[in-house]
Amino acid sequence: MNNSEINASKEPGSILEVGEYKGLLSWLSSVDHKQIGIMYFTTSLIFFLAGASLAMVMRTQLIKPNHHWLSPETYNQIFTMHGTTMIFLAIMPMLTAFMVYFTPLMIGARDVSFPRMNALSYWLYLMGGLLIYFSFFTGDTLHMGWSAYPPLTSVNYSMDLYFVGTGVDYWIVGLLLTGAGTIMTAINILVTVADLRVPDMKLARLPLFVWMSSINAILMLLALPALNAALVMLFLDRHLNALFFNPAAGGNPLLWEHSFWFFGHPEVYILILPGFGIVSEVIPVFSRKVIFGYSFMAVATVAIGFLSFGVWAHHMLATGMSFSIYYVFAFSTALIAVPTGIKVFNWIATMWGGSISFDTAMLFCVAFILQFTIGGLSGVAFATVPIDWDLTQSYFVVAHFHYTLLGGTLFTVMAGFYYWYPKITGRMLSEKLGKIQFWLMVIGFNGAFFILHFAGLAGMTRRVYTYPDLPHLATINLISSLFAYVLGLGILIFFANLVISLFKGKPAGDNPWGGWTLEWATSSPPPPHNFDRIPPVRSIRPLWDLERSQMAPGAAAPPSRGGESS
Amino acid sequence: MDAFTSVLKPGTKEAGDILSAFYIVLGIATLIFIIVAGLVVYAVIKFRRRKGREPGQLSEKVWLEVLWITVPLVIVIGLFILAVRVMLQVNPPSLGHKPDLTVVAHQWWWELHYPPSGVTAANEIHLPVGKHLLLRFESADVIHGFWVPSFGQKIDVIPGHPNTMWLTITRPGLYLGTCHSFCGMGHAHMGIRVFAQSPEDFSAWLAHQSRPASPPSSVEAAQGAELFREKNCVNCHSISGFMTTGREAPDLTHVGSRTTLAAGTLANTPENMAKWLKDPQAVKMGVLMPEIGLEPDQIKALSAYLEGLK
Ligand code: HEC
Ligand code: HEM
Ligand SMILES: [Cu+2]
Repeated sequence: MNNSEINASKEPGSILEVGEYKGLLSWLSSVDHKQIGIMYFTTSLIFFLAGASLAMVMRTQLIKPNHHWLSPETYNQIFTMHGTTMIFLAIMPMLTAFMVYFTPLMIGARDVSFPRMNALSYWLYLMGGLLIYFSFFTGDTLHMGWSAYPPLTSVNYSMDLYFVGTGVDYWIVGLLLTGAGTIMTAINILVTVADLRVPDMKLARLPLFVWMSSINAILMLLALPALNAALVMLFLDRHLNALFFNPAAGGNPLLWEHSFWFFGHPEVYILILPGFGIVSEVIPVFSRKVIFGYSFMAVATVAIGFLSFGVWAHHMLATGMSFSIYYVFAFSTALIAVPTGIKVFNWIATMWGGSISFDTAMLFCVAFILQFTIGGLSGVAFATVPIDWDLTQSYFVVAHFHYTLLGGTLFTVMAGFYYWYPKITGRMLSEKLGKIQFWLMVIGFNGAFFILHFAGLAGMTRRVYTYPDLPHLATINLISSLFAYVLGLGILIFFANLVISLFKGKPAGDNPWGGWTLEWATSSPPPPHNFDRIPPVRSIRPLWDLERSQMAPGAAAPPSRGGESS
Repeated sequence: MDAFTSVLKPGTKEAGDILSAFYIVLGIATLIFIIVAGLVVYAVIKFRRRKGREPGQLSEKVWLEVLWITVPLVIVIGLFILAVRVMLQVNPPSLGHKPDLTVVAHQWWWELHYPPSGVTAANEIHLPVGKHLLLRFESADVIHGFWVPSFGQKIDVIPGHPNTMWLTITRPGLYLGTCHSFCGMGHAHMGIRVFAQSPEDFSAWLAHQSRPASPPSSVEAAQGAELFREKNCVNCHSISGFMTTGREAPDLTHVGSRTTLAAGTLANTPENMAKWLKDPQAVKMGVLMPEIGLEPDQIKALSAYLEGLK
């Protein structure tokens, strides 16, 4: 667009030059969704770095059998922190960052509906995260796994070592804080999408990222209260002897498992839906084709959201519940593969017949499709109940969920960064570093995790600081650890790229990828008020329509009715 | 002895059934993956960006959508039927049956009861080959899990919620397993060893286990027995025929006949026994046996006594 050249002279080319964003105070006191988004990005990236470093320590401990470098106490804390960090403090807020930053831009709004609440969400998240990490300094941190099953976490047995110490309290309160923040974000996104779309953006013209973020917000809104309730019960058990989970006094530890997974399963969709959204934006742009099956994509998202509340007990298939319960959950779990399959095939169909350019963002999407398919297929295997009996809680599960969370979500997040970093900062990420990072991550990830399926088959259980020298385990783990370092190197290069490109990156211009959604219609970085003018929205690709209208963009883009909606 | 450690080497009828189902699902999954990967790879190669080609903007084809909704749906229904069949085959309801073995999980060891014979043992399970056996699982403290990969299924061991599992072991040998549900510090050292024996060998073993402990056979061992009482080992441990007050720790009546100590943590040798008695925490961090503070000669006497309890 010619706009960019006109704008280039008068608008800052980099986020570092935006006058309104100068000075610490402008950040601390900000209610601008873009600044808050950037703070979410930064914080979650730092937590991600922590989580990934812990993972490298774990893989080093597991590099050979009967390894006594770390004590079980240390290792148990590390895997608990790794899981908690990755789920609650890294990946989920990173996706929130995309939602908070891009939802208003993609619907042509000036900000979210409740900017102050948006800021509060962020600060609650940060404080909650710090509180959880503070438990490291209490000398008695978490060793329980991210799912924190009582009675291990609830009952004070006769000897201290039975019992998970004060760290759990920090964990509970920290999660309650971040959880409250998440619920607020969910409300914020929903109201924003309902209320602040430019008037001619009907629901059927909503970008898929916004569709998926909205469904995601509904999941957050409905799932997190279950976790919060469970956390409160656990807290009461620990401090007021409420006995919810103590079987000796008529409580039931399965109550925790039900409440936790009633949250936990929607949570894993919360951890993937915005990623699906990112992929659904990136693939069309880099294939120069409209998304295939838009309405099926949207409906499939709704279906996933709906079904995800009916599958939680598949995390409990080995708890010895009655078979009739298993049947229901096994079927609903397998069923969720159908809408997921719809998405995969629609992405491929979007690429089909396209003119695909393999920039780093697109590469990550392609790898994502393949890796996520593997994770999805092993998930379907788990829905076949007896196979779950065989393999649950083994390293097969560790492989499965890293294929969905790392090979899945993290790869979509990477695509999102390469795609939108130019919009956020005004600078391109280095494609050269990007391609190196991509290949290191693909090789490292698959090398480290595919083979872990076999560790599970060979009899290795999860959450152990070391394992006996059973046949094959030494080789499998050595290979896995070495590839994990390759993956780690890829991640480091990503961070280097983020920092270097901020200062040295090529100026991005308004629309470096030829994107079609509204965020590309404003400058990079967008001005604090987001849009000077908004092109009319006649389809899901307003900028595409604009391009086709053969007129000078300036003339073709009268502010759409109501322009800035707030 | 043949050792069974892997899901891929089934040792029970049930594990065999599950493994067949696994291979079926693996086959289907592989096929689906090949199709998806094939399409992706084809698209990636064929539709690379080339100068001057403007792609068509096909946005929907309903028959395609219907195709990739119905085919997965059919597969999913097929897998569900498979799941139900194998479930019923493998773990029929246990109503009314008495268990052949009750396993009580403790932080971080296994208490064993063979109800028909009244035998109590610890950590090392013996079972007969070729019988349809019902195992019952209870927990004395937190949630544990019973997983012997070659048995196929695993089961959570939950306090206040006893579970059962059916087994028909088909091949004699040593089966290794472990606690699968994180249960605290000692989780990694909560191994399971199952000796699957011919019914005759099993009966002989059971008969031997039901005998009280043999009296100390040397002066040193007799000193050991005395220490065992003096040092309050009896508060936690029982030795039938000697003193059976302790219930919080493994039964030691025939500890000398076990192949390992502390749930598979150490091979059962006199040196390791001494190592264990000297400082259990150093062997198995977190373990709920205190360091007693024994002199070297006391340790020697105690291990002579305990190793004599064949
Ligand atoms: C506070 C209770 C307690 C006391 C007192 C105690 N033990 Fe233990 N002992 C345990 C527990 C619990 C275990 C199981 C440890 C494990 O494997 O996790 C154990 C395990 C053992 C084992 C290994 C058993 C096996 O089957 O592998 C031996 C041998 C043993 N103790 C000997 C002794 C002796 C000798 C004394 C006295 C000097 C003693 N214990 C005192 C609690 C106790
Ligand atoms: C950076 C590369 C990563 C490596 C090498 C890695 C490695 C591991 C390993 C080895 C375990 C098993 C620990 C055990 O059971 O003892 C584990 C657990 C886990 N990982 Fe990762 N991981 C990585 C990234 C991620 C990411 C991106 C996520 C995404 C959310 C994630 C989420 C989890 C979770 C939830 C657990 C379970 C923790 C628990 O058992 O409580 N990991 N990881
Ligand atoms: Cu256990």
